[in-house]
Amino acid sequence: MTGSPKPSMQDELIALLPNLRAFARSLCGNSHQADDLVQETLVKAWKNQSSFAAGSNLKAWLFTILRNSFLTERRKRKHEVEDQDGILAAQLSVNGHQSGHMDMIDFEKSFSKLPEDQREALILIGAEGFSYEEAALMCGCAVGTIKSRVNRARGKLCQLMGVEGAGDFGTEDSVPDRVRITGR
Amino acid sequence: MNKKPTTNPDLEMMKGSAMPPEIQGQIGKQLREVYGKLLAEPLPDKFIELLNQLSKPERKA
Repeated sequence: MTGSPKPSMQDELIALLPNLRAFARSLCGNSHQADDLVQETLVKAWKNQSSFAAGSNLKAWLFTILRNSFLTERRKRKHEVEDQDGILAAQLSVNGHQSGHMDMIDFEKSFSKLPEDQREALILIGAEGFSYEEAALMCGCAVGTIKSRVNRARGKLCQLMGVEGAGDFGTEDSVPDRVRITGR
Repeated sequence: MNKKPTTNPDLEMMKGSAMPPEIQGQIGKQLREVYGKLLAEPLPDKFIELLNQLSKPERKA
């Protein structure tokens, strides 16, 4: 406790490891590459922690570092870019079967078909719970751009899954807390 | 300030899918379930090891 300048930084980084890794894997699919990305992020974050504004959103700061590292790395090896389809689906297909419900697999498959920027926006907003403003800062674009990416992503998902009403989600009772919605 | 006819693809998409909040909720729910599986994956020790290494005061021999 005496030597380290900011003892809580390490704990905070540890607490955010699952998020960093999940985000990295949703960006680059390849789990080995994702882990390298997380490690690079940790090193950069540690070395630049003095530039982190205390009290601001550490997760957003870390995600920005991770995202920039990902983009830099991808630019470097542009010629060996893996096909973008099935990135998250490839990651999740193994686990997907455990859940046993059809709509989950459909969802993953459809999700993997979204353009990369839409997937990213939906993950930041819908899964990680960032605000539109935070996501816009992280992605270096306008708030409206994030909003429209999320909207397009949702619209496309519905289209791909052939959803017309919320009642179309799931036909099994394996999701106990599913909200049943009657058509209107 | 004059109103243009809506040829915005986003708006078209929104109109076409007429997304009620319930559907947004369902999409969000499935997304969080899928993402939650990634979050729940066991972490390799190497991250903690790296952080331990980083947090050690630098020593130059």
